[in-house]
Amino acid sequence: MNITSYLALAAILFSIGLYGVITKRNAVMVLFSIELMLNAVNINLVAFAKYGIFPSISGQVFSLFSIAIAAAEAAVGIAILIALYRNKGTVEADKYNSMKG
Amino acid sequence: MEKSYLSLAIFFLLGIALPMVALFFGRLLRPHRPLPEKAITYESGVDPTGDSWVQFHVRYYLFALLFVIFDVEAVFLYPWAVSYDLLRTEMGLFILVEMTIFVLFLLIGLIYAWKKKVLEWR
Amino acid sequence: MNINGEFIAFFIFSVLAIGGAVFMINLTRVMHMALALAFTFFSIAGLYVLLDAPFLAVIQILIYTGAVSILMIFGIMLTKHKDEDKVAPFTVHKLLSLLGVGGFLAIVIWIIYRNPFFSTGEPQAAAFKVTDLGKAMFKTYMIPFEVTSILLLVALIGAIVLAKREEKK
Repeated sequence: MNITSYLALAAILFSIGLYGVITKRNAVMVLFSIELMLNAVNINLVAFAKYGIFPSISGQVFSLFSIAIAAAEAAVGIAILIALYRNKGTVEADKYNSMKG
Repeated sequence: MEKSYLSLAIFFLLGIALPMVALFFGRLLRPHRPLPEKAITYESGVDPTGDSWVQFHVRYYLFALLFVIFDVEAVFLYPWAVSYDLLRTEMGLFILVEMTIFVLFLLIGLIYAWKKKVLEWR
Repeated sequence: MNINGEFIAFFIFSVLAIGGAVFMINLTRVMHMALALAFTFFSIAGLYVLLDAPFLAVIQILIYTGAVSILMIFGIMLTKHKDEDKVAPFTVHKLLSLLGVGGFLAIVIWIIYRNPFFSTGEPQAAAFKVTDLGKAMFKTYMIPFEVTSILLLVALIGAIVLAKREEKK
């Protein structure tokens, strides 16, 4: 195995997540896609920790921090979504347009 | 190392296969006679109308939130506990202080949640 | 590329991960999407095992497959999803997004496969243990570790403030 396979896999997962963020109208789905993109980045970090030019544990440490921050992000994201749903009565991201000029 | 992962994989496959095999044999053995009477509401029950969706209370979410935050805390505690002896010789008691600060910050969050009555189920 | 156990395992896990992600995008019901995403997270944990990071694999299952998926499912349960059964039409916006993301992916893959920088051949036998991880985290990355606790505290308090508002009335 070499690093190229892992990087290509991460790029594919990242692109699927990006497509979901752009096209999905449901805000919950947008959050799912963001989580997928973060996971793709974590794969890259761990792959570089093993197969990079300078293999070191730092990649895994960064990945651990990234997972912790993603959990916090998901918690706050869902909380914002619940607050928005309470005020607007919908989870369609297109309907959240009150800041449109 | 390789061997332990192999046993893990076998365990995993067995875990998937067992319910599948059980359900498959259940399907083979059980009688299958669908009647239209079997689908109607039991005895004098009313037919349901409208949406089946109900608004769940937000306190379910708050419990899930507390679980996630302290799950992350446990994840950081584990490598600390494993490498404690090693770091104790290198850094002295500061390694203990470091984790105490970490836990104290999250303890503030727990006290806040307690004061806000998140932990109560009314 | 020689076919060995590691390659087969990588192939299986990557197919499962990409399959879960594609199902996540294409399914119509939100709850099915959440399950597909949990499946993807689980496959990524398998990839971490292949990358000599068993601790991260456990963390991935514990936090992503366990906690974050539960959080997402609660987010689905607390909000209403009316028109989930009808299949969304394929609009110009989706076509443009598909083309744009496809172009992005093609460029990234081209860079990855072109760059001789990465393909340095055999990796060093760098077997990391959890003690190494702890040493790096609590010594080299001490300040980020403490800042993480502040971030978690802020996230906890912020999410409580945002979500709990309705009980006052």
